[in-house]
Amino acid sequence: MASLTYFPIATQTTTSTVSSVTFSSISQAYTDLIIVVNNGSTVSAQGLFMQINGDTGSNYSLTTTWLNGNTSAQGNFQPTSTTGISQFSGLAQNATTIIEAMVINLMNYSNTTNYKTLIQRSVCDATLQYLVGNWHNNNAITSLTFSIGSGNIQTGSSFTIYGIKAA
Amino acid sequence: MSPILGIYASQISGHLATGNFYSIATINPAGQSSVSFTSIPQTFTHLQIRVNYFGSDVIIPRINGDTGSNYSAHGWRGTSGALSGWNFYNGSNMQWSTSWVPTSTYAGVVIADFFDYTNTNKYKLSKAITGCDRASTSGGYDVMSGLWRNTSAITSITLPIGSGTYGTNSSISLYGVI
Repeated sequence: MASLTYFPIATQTTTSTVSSVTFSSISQAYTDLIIVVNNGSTVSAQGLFMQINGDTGSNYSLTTTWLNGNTSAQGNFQPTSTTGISQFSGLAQNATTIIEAMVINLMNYSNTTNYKTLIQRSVCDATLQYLVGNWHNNNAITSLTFSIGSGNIQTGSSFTIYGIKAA
Repeated sequence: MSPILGIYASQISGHLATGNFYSIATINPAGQSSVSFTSIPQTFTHLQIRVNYFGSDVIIPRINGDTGSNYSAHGWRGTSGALSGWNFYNGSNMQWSTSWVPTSTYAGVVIADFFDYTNTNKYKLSKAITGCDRASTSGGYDVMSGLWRNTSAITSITLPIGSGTYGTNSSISLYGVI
């Protein structure tokens, strides 16, 4: 018997420029998390930065590439030990308006046996980016913090977490 | 949820159903070389399969048990090098490649959608995003399409792993979208 799932867990929309947005006490009742973000920054060419469970150590890795549709420029980034998941869709032209959006899939986030893999796609006007990343920790994910590499998150940026529970 | 300073607490929503996404079945495939979703309900419009797994760097989906040369797939791959494209025609399966072998530590993931799967008037198209990052230069993702050149409704999906067996703690879940 199929059962309804894919529920919004929490939403935050910034009402002023803020240095970070945090979701804490995330429900452990789901299998995967999907985070939908539509954001801007107060400083141009700055992508979003995500840390898990307040972990600021060099416990993340990622592989990402991006392509600019205007210039055909492309690039990649593959830090093997870094302090968070960097969203580089803003690299080419992220302005101080809200023109960045992304969908982040955090897979099997509540398991306590394995590291956590995430996969995402993001856009920033002309730039398209895909990213696969890993948090090197077996703990269940209970909080997420978003910030900007330099500057603040722009007013009106929105962050929504959805949960999907497998049968 | 804990409200954050600067954020209206009223904007923190509860468990509001989106209303069109259903869990159908989950397989824990550890130790098996191939698993299948069978008797897939025909009551949805689209299907999604979400995989978190260990083992080989590729899963090779087949539809309705069809092992003939009736599939094609195209994709682009992002790794530590430049973007690259790949394709194959007239294959005997689709292909979900995670670029690198997911170890017991670093899971490979797949999110695949099958569109209009009950329609009997057109070939069946899917898209998928896959990836695995192993905290080294061994990391990458694929974005791909897959086509099954058959107009039959999809009633089963078989998911052999490329080599060996699925690792411990692997999971494969099927969802239906109205």
